[in-house]
Formats: sequence, C-alpha cells, structure tokens
Amino acid sequence: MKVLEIEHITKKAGRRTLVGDMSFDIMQGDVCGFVGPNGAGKTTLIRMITGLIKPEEGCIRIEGCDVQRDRKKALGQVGAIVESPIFFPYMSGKDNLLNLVKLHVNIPKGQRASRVDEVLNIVGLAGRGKDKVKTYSLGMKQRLGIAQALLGNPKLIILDEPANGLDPMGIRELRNLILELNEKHGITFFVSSHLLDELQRICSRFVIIKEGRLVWQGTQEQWQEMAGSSNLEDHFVEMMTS
Amino acid sequence: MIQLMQSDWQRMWKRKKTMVSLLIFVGIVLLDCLFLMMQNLGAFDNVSTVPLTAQNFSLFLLKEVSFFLVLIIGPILMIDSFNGEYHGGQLRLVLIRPISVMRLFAAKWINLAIIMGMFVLVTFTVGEIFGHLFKPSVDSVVFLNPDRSYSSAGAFMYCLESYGLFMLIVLAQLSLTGLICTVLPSPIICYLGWVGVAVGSMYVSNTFSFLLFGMSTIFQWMAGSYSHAFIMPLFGCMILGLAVTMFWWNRRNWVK
Repeated sequence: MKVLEIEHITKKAGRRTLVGDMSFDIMQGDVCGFVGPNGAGKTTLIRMITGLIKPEEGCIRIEGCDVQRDRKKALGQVGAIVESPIFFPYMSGKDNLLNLVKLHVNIPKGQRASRVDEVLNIVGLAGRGKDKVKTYSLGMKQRLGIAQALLGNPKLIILDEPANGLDPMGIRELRNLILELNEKHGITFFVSSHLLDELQRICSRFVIIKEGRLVWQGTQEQWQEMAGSSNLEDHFVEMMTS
Repeated sequence: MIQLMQSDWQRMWKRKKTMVSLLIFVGIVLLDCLFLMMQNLGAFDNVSTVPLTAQNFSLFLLKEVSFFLVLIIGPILMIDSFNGEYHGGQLRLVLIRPISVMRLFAAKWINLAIIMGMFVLVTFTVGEIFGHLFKPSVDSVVFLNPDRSYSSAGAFMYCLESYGLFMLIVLAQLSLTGLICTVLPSPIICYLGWVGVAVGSMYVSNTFSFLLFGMSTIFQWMAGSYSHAFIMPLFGCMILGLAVTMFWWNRRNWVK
C-alpha cells in the first residue's frame, strides 16, 4: 500500500527549477533513503510534502490525501523533522510536546498528557522531559524531534538530515530508534541524508535525485546489483558526476 | 480553533518578553498613577486643561500609558508572535501539524487582541480605582469641549467610550503590524517598519495621525472637534491589514 505518492512535482524559484517533474512512491513499512548532493532539492521536496511550500505543478498524496486540497487529513498521517530539530527553547521538552499535542485533534484532551509521556518513553527522554530544551544536546534534540513527530500516531515519518551534527553514539542511537519504530510500530520512514553508509544500514529502498530530478529509485539490493558491489558510495559519486 | 488558541496562548506566556512586558507595563501604570495623583490638572494638549477628578482620572491615565502600549508593548508582542517564531524556525513545528494556516493566523491575531484588551482593561480598572480613592468626586465633569458637561454616570460612559475607541486603534495597529511582520524578514526590521509606517502615514495624510497620536485624536473626536475622517480610516487600516496579511499567509512559502 502506498503511503506517500509524489506525482510530477515541479517547484521553481524564478527561472531556476528546484524540483522538476519528480514522481515516486513510498510503500507502507519502507525505510526509504532520500539521497542527493547539496542543493539537489531534497529539503525543498520535504517542505512540499509537509505543506510548508506549494508546488507549481503536480500532486503529493499521503495515505491517499492530497496535501494541497486536504491538508489537515494528509498532515494528520505524517510526522516530520524538517531541516533541524528546532523547539521553543524557553519551554521544557515535555512542555514543548504538551503544547504541540494540542494541535492534533485526533488525540482527546484526556489522553494528551499520557501520549506525551508515551512518546518521551519511546525516544528515551522520559528522565529529561522536565528540563529546558536549551539544556539538551543535539542528540537529545533529535530524539525530541522524533518524539514530536510521533505525537499524532503518524503512518509516515520524514527526517531531513537527522544525523547532522551527531557523534557516532548519537547516530547509532538514532539508527536503532528508527529501526525499532519501523519494526515494532510499523512506521514508514523517509530519511534524507548525505551519509550513505548510515542509510545503507537502515534503508530498504532508495530515491536518488540530482539537480531537482529523479535519477534512480529502487531497493537496496537492486542498487547493489547495479553497482556490482555492496559499497554504494563509488556508484553514487559516479551517478552524480556523469 | 480553540486548541490552536490555547497552544499559542501558552507559548506567548512562556516567552520571557511577554512577562517582562507585563511587569514593565504594571510598573508604568502605577508610576503614571502616582504622577497623576500629584497633579491637580489633567491636560488634553498644551492649551486645554481640566481639574483632575475621580471621574476623569482613568482617561488621563490612558493618555499617559497609550504611547507605551501602541509604540512598544503592542508591536513587541505582535512581532514576537508573527515574526519571531517564524524567523527562529519554531513556527515550522506548528505548521507541519494537521491544522489550517488561516486558523493559525486567526488564533494568533485573536490572542494578541485579547492580551492587548487585557492591558487596556487593567489600565481602566486601575485608573478608576486610583481616581476614586485619591481624587475628589464631583457631580459634574467637563472634558475637552467646555460646552458639554457630564454627570458621574455620563463621565464613566465617556471614559468607557474613549477606551473603546483606543482599543479599536490598537486593533488597527495589530492588523498593520501583522502585515509588516509577514512581509519583512526580521524582528528588528519589523519594529523599524512599524515605526516607519506610523510616522510615515502622517506625511501621507493627517487622517492617519491616530496611529501615532491616538489619544489626541480620541480627545478631539469625543469633543466633536476632530476635522478628519476617523472611523472609516480606522476600520480601513484594520480590514485592509487583516485581508492582505491573510492573503499573504495563504500564498506564502514557509521557508524558514
């Protein structure tokens, strides 16, 4: 079943095409790596998926709901960290989540606090929930970012460069969390990153873009077969330079 | 909508600036009360004065406080809510939720109107209390127009009406600041933009002097001596500011 459908999406800034006629689907249960060099249009596409910017052409559907026409239903199915995990620094981690959970109408008032405790437990921040966000490390902010993405029980979580600035321990924690949420809770992930090695460890599928256009999409096995090696980095560089 | 308002309200009060603004505002109201208590006359302008009494004390208190409300507290709260959150990237956290962008705008605007209404109400209440505690109560009161005198109840209604007009000016100011905060990139530029609009509009026409000198306009309007259109430009600023900002919010790309 398709969780995310990208159909002929085009976004321009003046004459420059940021994303051009891009189409692909993400299926339920996938952990999909979204790969491309800097300026390829990854964040632009993620902003369009999350309704922050509007495409000039094309259609984005989440669980069959058009993000432009049926914004509330579509965004009700998705949680995201767009760019970096920024929070309201003057509030504690828990207060941030309590504030944001009010915006999910599918969670009744009486269940909001327990939902916040639940997601804090899932990401391993229950012990630090009462601390101000400004005291958190980047790794903790990433985990809190995933916690806020989990608030509305989403089918799809979008992470934009989640490993940015994390140390190896933080990256491992994040990886384990993604895999756990995918396996235990059946959440589909769409993860953009530069770290191919890292994506290889968690992703079953890949979408590769260059200069705003789709270059290739398929499973990790298909890519390895095409590359003739399990080291995808060389093949990726080849694709980007050809 | 209520949940959006609750969420925005909570964020607003958790910001240090809101609490600091409130404390400074309370301090200024109290200092102005002390200042007025030491005066025997209330001045409408450089020429016209009347004896300060329990019945007109709250009006002159508003005159003292108004500049601070319109030029400092209102714009700061508006800029924090409409531009600061966006500029800091935090609004993105809210915008990616299953909410309507238009309702978010409405929630923010209504919350700011409520908080400014609270500031105005506090001024009125403190003015009435101080006036009745520390100034003599009289049977007949005259305001700017010496030909019209008012009973105690009439003076109360006169002050209430003046406060109502001031609240309308605040709402017009919120609408214009909302537009400025949506169009301009950073909080500091937004504040300069608002001051520029308030001062610059006077060069366009004296009709818009209420944006900067609200109380002077209200005094003259209530006395029946105001020579420009007031209500129409006031609602014009309010409605046009709201409409253009809503249009902009609906079309804009949220890239921060």
